[in-house]
Amino acid sequence: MTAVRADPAAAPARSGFSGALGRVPRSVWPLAVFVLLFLVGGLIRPNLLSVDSLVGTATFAMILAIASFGQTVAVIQAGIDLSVPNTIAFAALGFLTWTAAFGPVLGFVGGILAGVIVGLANGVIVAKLGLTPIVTTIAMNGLLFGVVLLTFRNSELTVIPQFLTDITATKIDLFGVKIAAVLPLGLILMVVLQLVLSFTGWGRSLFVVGSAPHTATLAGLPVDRIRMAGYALSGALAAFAGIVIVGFYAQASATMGASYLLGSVAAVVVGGASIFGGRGSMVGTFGGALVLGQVATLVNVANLGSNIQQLIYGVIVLIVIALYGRRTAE
Amino acid sequence: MSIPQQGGAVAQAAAPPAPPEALLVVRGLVKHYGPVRAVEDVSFSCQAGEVHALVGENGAGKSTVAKMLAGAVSPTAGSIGFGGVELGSGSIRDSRQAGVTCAFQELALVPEWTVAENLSLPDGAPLRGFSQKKATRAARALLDRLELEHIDPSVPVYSLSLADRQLVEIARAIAADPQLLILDEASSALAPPGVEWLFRRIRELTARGTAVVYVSHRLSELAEIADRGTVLRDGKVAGEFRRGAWTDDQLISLMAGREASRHFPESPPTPAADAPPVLEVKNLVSPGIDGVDLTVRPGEILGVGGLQGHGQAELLRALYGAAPAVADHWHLGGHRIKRLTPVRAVRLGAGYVPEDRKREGLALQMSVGENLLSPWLKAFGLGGRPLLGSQSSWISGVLRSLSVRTRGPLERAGALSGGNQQKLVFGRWTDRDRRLVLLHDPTRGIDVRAKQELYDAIVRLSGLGVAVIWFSTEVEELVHVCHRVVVLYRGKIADELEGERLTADAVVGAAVGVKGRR
Repeated sequence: MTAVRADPAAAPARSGFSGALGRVPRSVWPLAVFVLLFLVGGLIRPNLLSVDSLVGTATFAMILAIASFGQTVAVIQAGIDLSVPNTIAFAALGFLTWTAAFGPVLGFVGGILAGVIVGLANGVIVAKLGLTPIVTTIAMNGLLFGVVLLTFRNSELTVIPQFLTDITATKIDLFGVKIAAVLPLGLILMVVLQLVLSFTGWGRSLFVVGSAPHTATLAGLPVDRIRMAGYALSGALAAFAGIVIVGFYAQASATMGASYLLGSVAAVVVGGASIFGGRGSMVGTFGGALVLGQVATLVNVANLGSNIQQLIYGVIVLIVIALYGRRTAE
Repeated sequence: MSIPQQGGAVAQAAAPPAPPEALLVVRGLVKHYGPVRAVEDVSFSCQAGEVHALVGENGAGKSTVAKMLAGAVSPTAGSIGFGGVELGSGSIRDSRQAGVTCAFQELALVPEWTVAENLSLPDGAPLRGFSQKKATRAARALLDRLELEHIDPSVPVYSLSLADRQLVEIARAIAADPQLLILDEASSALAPPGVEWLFRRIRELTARGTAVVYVSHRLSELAEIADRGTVLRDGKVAGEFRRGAWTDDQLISLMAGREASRHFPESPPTPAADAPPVLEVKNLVSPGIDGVDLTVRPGEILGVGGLQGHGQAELLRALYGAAPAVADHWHLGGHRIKRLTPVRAVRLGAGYVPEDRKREGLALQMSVGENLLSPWLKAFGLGGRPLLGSQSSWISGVLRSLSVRTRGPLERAGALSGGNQQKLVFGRWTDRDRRLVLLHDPTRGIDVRAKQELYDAIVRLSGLGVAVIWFSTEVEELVHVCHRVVVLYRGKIADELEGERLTADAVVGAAVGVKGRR
């Protein structure tokens, strides 16, 4: 009898704690995990607990995050964009080719436009023809790879325009710490996109479409247009990521996007987005990218090689999806 | 209409000690979800061969009690004794093996599977082979035995109407030959013949000694089927009743905890007949609809009656553009329509409250406020918190006028009870310059108080000059609140009832096709 009486008394206390935990925004979790991993790294190798190490990881993470912002948009609307890798490659190679031919401004516009067109094609096929996003976008990825190989076979692509280097690779002195320009660039992009997601009608309707497509249709929202715009933005952001990667690493190749297939999905999922749609944030995706970046750093420190890194990313995605990716019953 | 202490069998005290021969003895059942106290202290007992009703408003804890009996939810405290065995382990499997089955209100069927696959679901031992043929044959035999010849066992469940799905769900629960059958709002989508079918099945079962726990809102059903019953209010037992010794008013005031009666609001004044119609459609054809003519004027409440599956759902969807439809002549809000989409319908001043509030009406993960605002999001306008802020007076006005019980616009819509969720789906169209609101059985499965609040809201809407087309499975609602009722039969209008001719008998008669014009 005592046990029975004690139980309800204990329950509110426990739920009070978990209730407080539940009120923490989801995007904070990956940041907390990152801090934990950062400290773990420091235990293994004390010189990892330095500002330089932090900036290094953050820079790597920011590039991954820029490549994953488009993926976040796709996942929120209950889709997925697996054409990110070759959109990156196509936009990057296209940018360099067109810059050489028409100058940097047209090259930049052309690169982004290429991404928009790829995304729109994805969106039209998914929204109007009703094909599954996963099949549509992976087919688009394969198609783009063919296009890349055919179009940019013999190009000499080494001249990086100065303005691009300025906004990505150039080191900026910030309170005595040298950081790459891509870090503030990515942060600005993140804030702008987060504002669009949280505070605009289109951003919110993306969430409605993602969490309840029938509801969105019957509420009179233009679901097809919202979807297509989402995929177009996803393509544009992937293209932008391609151009940023060219600027930062000063090289481009047909396979340059390959590691962003798993990487972008992993960052989005680790960042707290639901793979079933309706939930996700840009800040969370950056947090997810930070976690993956720190994992990459630890893998490097342990000298395990980049193949192990992919393996670990895969394991992380599986664990995260198993932990909170399941559809919760209403 | 007094609080029925003197009502003889209706007792307000806690449950009397259970007779020793009771099959089901529930004692001191408690369920907390975190800080939410869904069930505080519920005790009742049920004998073999008896139908025991559980009644109460939404949020009173009926469904939670039913789920604990079925083993879908494990109790925080208390005991469930069943034929000498202790249940309440929170395992559906254990409960099934003890002889307890349940038909849930929110259907527990796999939509993509066929009827036969769904019917064999509970007994599908994983290592035994599964034969499509045998399962279909067994399902056919079962459906025939239960007088459900019209259901084809080889079609997927999603292609069935909601009522048929509910019949399959009930059939599955009966098929296990239970000693205790729990029907959790199992009749909510059924039209009168379906309810009669259910009652025949219940009588067969009770004749064999099966006990039935019957959860329902429909008092008229209780009068017919319930031997005894327990009224729940706020998770506690508010009273008990016995066959024949109660009235609607007594039960309602027990449920509501206040003086209440089953009343309908006064019909609003008949709208002017010379006003230009909001909707005018001639020879509307759509899947399930075969040539319907309608004219609705501003402020008119047009009821749509008829048996389930005769085209009411399809008519509303077609008029809203959610299903493909063509007509010889079609005007909405003064605009000629050739092809309609929901986007265009909303722009022309229409609103729609769909059948399935959880899947079609709400985004359950999102907040109450954002759900209200979802039709009003502009791609290039504000959204989220800034929009909630700028629309806060509209939102609080809607929440107040419909008495939505919520902690505020930021609460998750999924956390509200069914009736309050329904109010959100309805509320998003109020006070928004609508000309025509289409309602698909908005009062299905919600409690008495919420129903009356919705009636009032509908009448208010019509008073503002909004035309309302209202499909309801409850004939009384149509007769008492609507100005005019069209009854559908096989996708056509069988009869149009107005004024003197608008009676419950006429509606039911037309629905079964006896007094049709054609």
